[in-house]
Amino acid sequence: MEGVFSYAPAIAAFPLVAFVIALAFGKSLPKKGALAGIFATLGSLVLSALMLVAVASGEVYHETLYEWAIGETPSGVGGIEFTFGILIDPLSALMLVIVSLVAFLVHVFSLGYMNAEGETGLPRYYAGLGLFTFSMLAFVFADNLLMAFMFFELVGLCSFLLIGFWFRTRSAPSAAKKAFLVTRFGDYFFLIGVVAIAATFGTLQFAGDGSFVAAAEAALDGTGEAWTPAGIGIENWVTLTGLLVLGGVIGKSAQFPLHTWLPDAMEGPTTVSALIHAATMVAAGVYLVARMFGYYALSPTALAIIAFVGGFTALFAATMGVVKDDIKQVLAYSTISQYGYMMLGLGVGGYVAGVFHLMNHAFFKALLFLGAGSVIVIMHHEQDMWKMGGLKDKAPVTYYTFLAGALALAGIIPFSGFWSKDEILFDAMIVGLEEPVIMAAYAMGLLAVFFTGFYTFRMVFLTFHGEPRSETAEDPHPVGWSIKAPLIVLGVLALVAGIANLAPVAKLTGLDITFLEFWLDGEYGAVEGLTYSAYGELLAYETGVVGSEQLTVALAAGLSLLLAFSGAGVAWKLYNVPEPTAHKEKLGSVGDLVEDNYYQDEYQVWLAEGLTLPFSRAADRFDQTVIDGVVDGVSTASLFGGDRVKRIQTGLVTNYAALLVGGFIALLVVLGLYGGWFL
Amino acid sequence: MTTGPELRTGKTLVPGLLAVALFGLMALIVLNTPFGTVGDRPVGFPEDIAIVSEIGYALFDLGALQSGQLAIPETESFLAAFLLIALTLDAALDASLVLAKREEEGEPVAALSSRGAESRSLTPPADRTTVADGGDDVEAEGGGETR
Amino acid sequence: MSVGVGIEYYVLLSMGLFCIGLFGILTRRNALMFLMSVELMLNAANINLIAFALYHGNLTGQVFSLFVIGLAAAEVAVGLGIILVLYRNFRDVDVTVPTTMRW
Repeated sequence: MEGVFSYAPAIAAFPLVAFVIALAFGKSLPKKGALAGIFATLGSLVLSALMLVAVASGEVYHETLYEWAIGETPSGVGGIEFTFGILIDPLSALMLVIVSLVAFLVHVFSLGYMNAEGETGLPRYYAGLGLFTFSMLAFVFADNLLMAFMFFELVGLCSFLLIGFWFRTRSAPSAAKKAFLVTRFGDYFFLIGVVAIAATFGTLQFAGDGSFVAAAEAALDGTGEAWTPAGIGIENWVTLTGLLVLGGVIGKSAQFPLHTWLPDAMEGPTTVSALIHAATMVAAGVYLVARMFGYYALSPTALAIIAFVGGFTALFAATMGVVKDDIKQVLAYSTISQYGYMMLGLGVGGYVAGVFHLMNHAFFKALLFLGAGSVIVIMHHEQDMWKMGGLKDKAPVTYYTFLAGALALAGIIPFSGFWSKDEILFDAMIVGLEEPVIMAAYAMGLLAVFFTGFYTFRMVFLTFHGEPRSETAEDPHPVGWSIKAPLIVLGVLALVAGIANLAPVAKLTGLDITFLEFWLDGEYGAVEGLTYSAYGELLAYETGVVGSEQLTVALAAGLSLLLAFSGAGVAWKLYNVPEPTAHKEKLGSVGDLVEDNYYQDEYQVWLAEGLTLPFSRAADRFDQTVIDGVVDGVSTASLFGGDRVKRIQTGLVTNYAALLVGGFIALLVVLGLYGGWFL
Repeated sequence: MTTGPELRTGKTLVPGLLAVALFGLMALIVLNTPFGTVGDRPVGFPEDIAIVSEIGYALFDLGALQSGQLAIPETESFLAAFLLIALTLDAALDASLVLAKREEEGEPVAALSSRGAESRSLTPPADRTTVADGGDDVEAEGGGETR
Repeated sequence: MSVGVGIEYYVLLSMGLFCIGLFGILTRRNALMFLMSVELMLNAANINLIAFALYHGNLTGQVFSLFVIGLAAAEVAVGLGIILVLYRNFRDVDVTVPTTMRW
């Protein structure tokens, strides 16, 4: 299996070729570039699976492919290199499989969602998907922070292009612009963080002895050297740079306060939402934290902030998802909330839990979005849930797969979502028993479980149960195999993916079945220092227990299940009736506040218009009056001087003669005084 | 009572002060120069030589005809300059003729040309008053001296 | 012939003539008087040349002044032609009238 790693660049190259083909030849192809994309992602999937097998047999791959800039210092020591390289270790191999699988399924689904529905501009769509898949895969196997940043930005660009796919409407380009600007705002801090890390440690590699993680560890131990500005202590500087990089993570993974772009991003096609805004691009932020986890583990403050922001976002977004009527909006807020869980999991040191939830969420959220896409096709592109109803009998495949995804999302045993969410909450609880801040985050996460169960089942019941509430619901549009097949694949995964890491069962019964933990712990193959136990040594968290460990496990699992069931139960009671009514008005002003998204959008617009605009106007005025004024003043002085001096040329000959004589007299006087004629 | 031309006085004479200042300055310089005390100057010319003929011999570079005792030493020959001056005088003459040419009723009238004189002589003198060469001034009265 | 008076007087005479001519150039308005003043300056230069020829005992100065006389004549010829053209264009021989060659 040695040679398979040399094909690693092809994983990202295949979708890039599909991008070029769709862009150049898409108009003349029968499916407008779909087949190129399908085969490309299939190839990437096969190669990723091969990589997975190779890593499972104990090999890892870390190669620098291309050095594109080398900075040297005069002394020859401490220069920095900017390279493109590939790092394939357990985490990245897993993520490669996830991304290429979801991309492949989305491409197949697009045949039924876009091609069959007679959409125009499809070459552009498939080109965008191809470019996105290329960027995301390259981001996953990037081996240094700068390369990761570049592809981070590139996926943001693809998101912009794809959200604004129907650019002739008013809302889609505006939403694309908003997505790009908000994520760009976060990426600005990310860039500063990258520069800071490069300047501090002289290296940007993720792995190996030459990585900035190892350098930071050495600097904190006192065995290494690192530059810090203005004499800040190295711990504070590590925290600060971690928080700067976190800015990009918060933007990309739509955490509070940079979450406002994700609901608007639903303007894009549902397949795009499934691929980019559910499973992969927003995962890029969380994946980056997992990739750099050794660095974040050195800074408990940064981790605590990550956990708190994650917990808060989970609750915050879940409350907003409760009152939405558009099926895609509910899923968008659900995505924000679930990524909050992942951040919470990573922030409390639950590396395995966070990655596990990342994997499960990719599958069930993609499933839910694709299911919503199927519903939209069935409903002739109607997205308001209040106009749906009774689709359960008319679209059974869609219904059962969607139900599987919903059960996973709500965290109902034995679906995959339960295992990962429960593990996150367990990890949060045991750390929270020692740290009050984490306890608060845990409490918020726990409360969000209730809301998650509630809005998930509200969505299911309004869409599929009850009586049809409009004519389109009574006369649905049939869907083909290209829509059903990906749904079935993902539905099965949502059901069984939990087997990868049945942690509570392992703890309660003592069986060794936590496969994902073994995978990430380097039991199969790993890069030195990037394993779960290595991270565990770096973490400074103490954990507590309630009684014994088994009791704690059972307590945590029991609490989350209880809340999930009660949320689902409330939704059952309110919405699983033949003619459900909107109960939103009963919430009164609180409901209005939540429906208006706590005025976050208005707040951000105010920041731009009320705060930044006057400042930039003042700067512009300064530039025009002072700086341009100086330049204009020079020319004015020159013109004025010239205007005055030209009057010597009067045209009168006698004046000229007088000037000549005057000059001659002056010359004689000077020469005479100098030469001593008058003495 | 005749009114002759009057010299303008007043403000127009102010530039003339410069000339006065120059004279004063140069007088000062000259009077401070020790002319007679350097070397054996002034020299003067020998008593019995005809100066003008010596000038002529020098002008045409006729060294053989100069006085045998080499009376006026270090006088350079000016033959080339003489020829150049002749050329220049010739050119100046022609230039002034060109400048004096004027146009009258579409026909150029040059001074010293035969045709212009004929046309003049054909017309009766009573019709043509003396034109003061003011170009196409047909109705000039008298000369151009008065204004 | 003997030197006679000291050479300073000759030089002073030539300076005086020169400055009188210069005065005429600076103050006279009639173009013909202007030309006459120029003639005066040239003659002042001639006197200077002759004086220094006597001072050095060399005839070069005298021959040179002959040339200057000849050149003065040529210059007057051309100058009068110019005044003619000036009168044709400006209807006046006042040198303060043509001021078109300026800003």
